Amino acid sequence: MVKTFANASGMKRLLSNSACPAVLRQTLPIINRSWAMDEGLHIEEDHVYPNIVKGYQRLIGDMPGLADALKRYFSSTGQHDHSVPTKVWSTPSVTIGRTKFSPVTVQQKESRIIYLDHQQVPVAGEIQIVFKLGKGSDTYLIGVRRYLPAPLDAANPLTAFPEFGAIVVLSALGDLEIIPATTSIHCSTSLAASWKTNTLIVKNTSRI
Amino acid sequence: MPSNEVIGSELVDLCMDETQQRRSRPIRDALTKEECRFLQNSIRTTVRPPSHRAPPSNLGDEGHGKLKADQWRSLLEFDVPVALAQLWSKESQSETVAAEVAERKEKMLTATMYLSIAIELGTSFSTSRKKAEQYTEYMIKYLQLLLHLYPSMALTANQHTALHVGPLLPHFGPAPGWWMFPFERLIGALQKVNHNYQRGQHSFFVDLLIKPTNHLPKASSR
Amino acid sequence: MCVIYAHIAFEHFVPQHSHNSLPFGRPDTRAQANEVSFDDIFNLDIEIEEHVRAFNTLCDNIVALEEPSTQEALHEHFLYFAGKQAQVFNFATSTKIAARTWECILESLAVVLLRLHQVKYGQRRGEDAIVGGTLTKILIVFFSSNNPLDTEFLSELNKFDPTTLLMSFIPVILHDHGKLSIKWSDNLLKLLRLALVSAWTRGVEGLTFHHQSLVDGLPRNLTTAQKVFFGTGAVTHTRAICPKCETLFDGPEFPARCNSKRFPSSSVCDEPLTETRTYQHKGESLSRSYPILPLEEQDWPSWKARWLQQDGIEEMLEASQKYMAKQHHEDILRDFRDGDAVRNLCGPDGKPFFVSSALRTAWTISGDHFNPYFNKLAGKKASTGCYAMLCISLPPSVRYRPENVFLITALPCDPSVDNIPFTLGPIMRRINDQWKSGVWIKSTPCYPSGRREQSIVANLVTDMPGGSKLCGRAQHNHGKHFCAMCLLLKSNINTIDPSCFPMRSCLQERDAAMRWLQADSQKARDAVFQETGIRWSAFWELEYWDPTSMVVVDTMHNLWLGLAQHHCRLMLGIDWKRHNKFKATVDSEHPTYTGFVNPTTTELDKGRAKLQKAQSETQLHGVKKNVLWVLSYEAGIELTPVKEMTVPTLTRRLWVSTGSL
Repeated sequence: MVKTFANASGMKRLLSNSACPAVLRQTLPIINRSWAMDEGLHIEEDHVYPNIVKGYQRLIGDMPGLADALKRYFSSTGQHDHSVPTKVWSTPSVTIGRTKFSPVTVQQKESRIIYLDHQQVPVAGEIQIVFKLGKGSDTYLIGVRRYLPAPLDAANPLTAFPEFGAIVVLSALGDLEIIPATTSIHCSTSLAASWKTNTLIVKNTSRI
Repeated sequence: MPSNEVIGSELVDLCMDETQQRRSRPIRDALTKEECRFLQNSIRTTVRPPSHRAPPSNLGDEGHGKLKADQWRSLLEFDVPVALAQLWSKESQSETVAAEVAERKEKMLTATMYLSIAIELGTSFSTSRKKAEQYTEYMIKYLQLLLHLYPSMALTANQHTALHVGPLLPHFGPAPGWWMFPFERLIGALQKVNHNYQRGQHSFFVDLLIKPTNHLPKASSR
Repeated sequence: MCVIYAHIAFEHFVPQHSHNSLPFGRPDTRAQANEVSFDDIFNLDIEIEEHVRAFNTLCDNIVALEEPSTQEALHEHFLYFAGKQAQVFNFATSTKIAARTWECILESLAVVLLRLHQVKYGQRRGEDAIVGGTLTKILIVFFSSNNPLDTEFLSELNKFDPTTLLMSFIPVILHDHGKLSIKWSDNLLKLLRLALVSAWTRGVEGLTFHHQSLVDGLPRNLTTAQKVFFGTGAVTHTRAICPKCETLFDGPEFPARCNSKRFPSSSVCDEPLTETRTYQHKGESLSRSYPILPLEEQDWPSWKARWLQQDGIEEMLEASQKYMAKQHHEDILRDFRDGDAVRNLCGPDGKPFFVSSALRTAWTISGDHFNPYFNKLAGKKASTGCYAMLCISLPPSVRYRPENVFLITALPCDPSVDNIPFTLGPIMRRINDQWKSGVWIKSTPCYPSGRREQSIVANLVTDMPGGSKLCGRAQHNHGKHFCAMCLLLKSNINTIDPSCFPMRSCLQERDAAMRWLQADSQKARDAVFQETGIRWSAFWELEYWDPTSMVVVDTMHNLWLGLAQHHCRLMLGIDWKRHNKFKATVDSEHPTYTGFVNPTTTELDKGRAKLQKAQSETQLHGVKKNVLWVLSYEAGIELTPVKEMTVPTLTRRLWVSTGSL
């Protein structure tokens, strides 16, 4: 058992070497997946991974509110001379750090997002679209609709424990707004449970 | 919704008469059947990202098997506190419930919240002296509350050891740097690695493991 | 290529026995070889040159390769050159004469041997890739005598036809990484050969000569295929464990019977350690002795030498070393390397460990036992103990990859608490050597002329029961000292103010452990353990070991499986029915119902009725243990120690105290 493991890890070491013949190196992703020893439970790396598959063009008019949201986004980030394009390149998901985010129409479980807004307050929302401004562009933008804040409810014991980290929101959604897909706004997916009628309890799942 | 019973019906079997109540384990703050159903429903309807494995939605019933460590963690991290907060907070308990019972249940909810916060602080991916102190603070509050609710209870070894985790955090860094997960994974991988045990042959490796257990029947060729 | 061979032959890190403490970690064979003078080298060089000339003439004039005389001549040349190569290699590693001198000789020898094999196994002129037929044989011959660096080995592999290389590689991967048995790996090779033939067949012509020779050159079975890729260089040693007293014996020779004595006054263990087995080899019946309980231990210095050759590892380790030598000024800690533990580690000279020109790495060690058969063999409790090390100096994204995990060994048994220090002791001594003198690596990517590497174990990561066993501490069922981290008495377990915990002291613990070790009988040892809760631990072999600051509490088991589960099950009553270790911890004066569920009231009523009606003890048979327990408690019978409360004992005591009324 020890010998086999020793040989196996020695083999992996050889495969990782750049001098290894290319024909053998191509087996490395397959083997890595089965070992899967470095997955999960990790400190997040500072990467945004582009998703290359299945992007497609969409007319900006297809999604109500998208044009206005883009206009607001350009003006808030100081790109006043940037005009709103007629088409955007939409993708089914984007991976920030190690977490995958998708629009609600693609994968509902990955669509609930918590991020820091301009005032550095954590805000919960639902992703409506993930897109780039141009096919070759590197920056991803996320169109998200916030959950409306619930009125302060002293009866909710979860608010008495702010360290628990629960955010109480109404299940109604606000207007579309655009946020950049970067690690600086601390995006994370969330657990969401319903609380009484029309209210949701949302909690951050990021590994902080 | 909270029922009028003080103790759930299946627990009545366990503690019938007074003397028996003293001797066996009266779980006075247990969830009733209806409350259990509420929790199960809450688990089922919670939307989770794919990376978070859900606890079994038939929790408490037969047939779901042993839970893994991360399932217990996600129960305490979100499902149980959120469900209990809807069931056992002062406002949500019905008036027909005795005041003493309602107060106990609310205290149990507080204890659950303390534990949830403490566990998150103790196993977070980044830590600091302040966080370690907060962890110890919440853990002490939790144990104090438990002892208040059950004055004659003896703490378990695990609960005592949890108080030692606090000073380890600034010493070794955040818990994910020194927990058992990577080694458990390694053992899992080793169990899958080929160890040339061949069916039908009395292999060398079988000799390795079976022979020392002399009191057990020898591995015969199958 | 051949210059590199010569470079490899003696510039690379040499075998396992070199890590004793000589100034530069070079092998001890220096003193033993006869000193060779420059004249001897000169004469040797000329002699070899002559033979090479003769060989080249022979090769250029071969008429028929299969002729016996040609074959014989080739074989003679092979014997001569291979012998010379071994001799020169021996000189190169053991004499004081500089390496460069030997380079040229080894270079020419390598060229000759390569040509010899090409001639013997045929090579079409003008082919770029060496024909498949030579794939295994060249590599096996060449690399069996050298210890090539990864890059050199891989550049050799690059010369072979990619398709046959991949086809040989696939069964090896599936065997080593997956669960494919040897038999099926052989079958897979045959199937892949069929696939190749089918892919290369062109209509009625069949295969071309080139393709036919490639197909013929594929390894025939898994063992040969593994030899092709054996440049992985895993070095393991076989050790033996005594089946009775579980002491570890280092090889390579083992006594036939165990000769260890636990105490100076006790007798020798005398359990058979090895057994002889006969096997057939080339028609002869030979016998060899094998240890009954063998153990494969991986050699850490050789592993480290290869590990450091990976791209980028050395830079990462050096960066970590610099980082851990400084204070961490930020408030936030994100990783093990930010904590205090690593900054308190010292080197053999007493100074901070990471301040050094040598490469210094920190490791974490762990050991756990598991059943390798997934409990499939009903009733057979086989237990394997797996001990591994992770390198803390690497960043987390790379740390957990299998090529960076050092698996020390897999113990074939689960030693008892009294024996485990003697099983792990020799292993720990070797690990200590890595801190004290380290290993001299002859060539690394950053330091081609070599550097020293030293490793320290920064902490021990295990679950509480395993960790207590390894450290020689008492587990939670000890009468007094139940906690592995402090000396709190069990009667004070409800103390929750951490400032009141009496902490352990390293010196006191070591003293108690020494007392245990030096006790002269098992009874004396048990007495020490009862009093102090300490046994000797193999970890004391590490001179820098400090159990008060190097042992962790595993939060996964403790917080998630321990506290969270306890809270949900016992406090909230979720899933309590299935909790079979249901403890009556509410009222501490009551006994704990360990191991079974509380009886229902109907069962209790029935039991009470039976007790009242019973005329003799035998009529109480059939009453379940949990019912007996409650009835005994009601009758006021003393119910400890729990272990002795078997059903017959309970029945007898109950009858004696109540039944006769």
